[in-house]
Amino acid sequence: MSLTINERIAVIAVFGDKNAPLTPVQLRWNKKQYKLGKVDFYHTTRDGHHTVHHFSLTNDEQSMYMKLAFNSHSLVWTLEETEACE
Amino acid sequence: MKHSAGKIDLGINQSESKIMHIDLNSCFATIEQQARQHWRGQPVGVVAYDSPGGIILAASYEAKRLGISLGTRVWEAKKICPNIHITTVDPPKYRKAHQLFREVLEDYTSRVKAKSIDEFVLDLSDSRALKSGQTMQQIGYEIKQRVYQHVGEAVSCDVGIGPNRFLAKLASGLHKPNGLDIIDLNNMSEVYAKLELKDLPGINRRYDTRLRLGGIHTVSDFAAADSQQLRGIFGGIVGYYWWLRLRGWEIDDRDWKSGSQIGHQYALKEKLQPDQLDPIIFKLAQKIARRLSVKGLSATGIRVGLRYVRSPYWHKSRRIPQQLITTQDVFQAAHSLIDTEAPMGAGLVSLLSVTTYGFQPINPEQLALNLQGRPIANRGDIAKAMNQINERYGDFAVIPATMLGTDGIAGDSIAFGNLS
Repeated sequence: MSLTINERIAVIAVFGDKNAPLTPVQLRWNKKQYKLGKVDFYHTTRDGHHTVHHFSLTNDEQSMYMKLAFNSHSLVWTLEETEACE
Repeated sequence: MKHSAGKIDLGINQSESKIMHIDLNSCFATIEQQARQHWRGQPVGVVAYDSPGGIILAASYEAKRLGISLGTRVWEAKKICPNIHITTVDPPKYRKAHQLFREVLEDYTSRVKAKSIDEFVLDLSDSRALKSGQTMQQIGYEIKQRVYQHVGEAVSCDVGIGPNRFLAKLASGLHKPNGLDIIDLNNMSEVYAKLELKDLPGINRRYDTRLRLGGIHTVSDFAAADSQQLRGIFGGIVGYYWWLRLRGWEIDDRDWKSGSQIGHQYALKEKLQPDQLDPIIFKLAQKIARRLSVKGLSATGIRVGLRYVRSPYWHKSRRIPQQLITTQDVFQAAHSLIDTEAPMGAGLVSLLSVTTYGFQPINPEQLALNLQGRPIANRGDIAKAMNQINERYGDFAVIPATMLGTDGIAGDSIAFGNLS
């Protein structure tokens, strides 16, 4: 069962790739670093005029599922939910 | 060529099958499996509300194999499979999948019609792929491969091919999940012989009973019946349409309801008494008013439906003499209908729907006499201004006081069924 987190996090991301304009590659949360694997699903939502980008993925060890959000107006990354992969 | 009941007897449609029906397998559950790698191959249930009494709206194929399907309660599902993954609906995800799905299909023809969030019909008559020599089956397999690549590796679809929409849809359901079938002149009788009446799209329990009372017990009987007999059983033109459908003639390529109504409904997590519904009515009214404003329309009719926990479903329509333009207009019309017409003492309400119809372009309004010396704006302008604020700052950024405290009562949702 996924846990709702909704905490602001620090993320290293790649912008401008031809196939994926924005790809998160590493994040820090709860004083731990997580290298991230391939994005499994990407979608957007609207916050008024602003776009929020959502990324569903697992860490590169495939031990933890995470859903991240990037607000294109505030430039803030949020860890929305996590779940241990069993 | 024969004549039957005043209509020309067309026999069976012998033209090539160029209609393709495609649906995503267990759409909501599959998209959740796409988003969460570790859920793939495991039972998943998608619910509106994650509580023991919550109803499963979509089950993955792994869950369906265990007997968990649409309508199963969460507690029942967990009894059958304690390890089932339950998650609440995430409509923006499914809308994205719908968009990705459509992008693939529009590469083959511009004649793509969304039947629902997870179903499309393609008319490939003018398709470049078909003209360049590919067969319908080859195009179908190619689309499956491209859906896998473009939407996600956990996502698969059923493809049905036929000379009309009915047979294409029927074909898409023959080998779920991930099937591809064609029904045409060559195998129609053979396919019909293996099916039961209720396997046909559009034949519900009521129609099934009606057909049996009319002496039709199998799909083969149904297909062999003449149009006059079917007119008698269905009570008119509907019987003739069925006669055509079963012979492969197109009768469903029409937008019966397109643009004829704008409405929203919500299933309530916490059941409410009718006199507690105002905040929800207002929320629905605001959504409807926004859509009316975008289309530049006013409505002249309103319909309200209430599903009760312990009483039968109630609905009522009413024509409204003045134009419904603003949130306030729609709210007042719906509120008044419930107030004056809804059954007394029917108890708690579990679902509320509000629908408007009878559209007209917004006419210039006669403004009210300004006795207070304040500037007057017309209702259309006020509605437009409120909509613009909510567009810019997010849904319900500006709300009437009546809506205070409604957060979380009515969330985002996706309609089942036809999108027209």
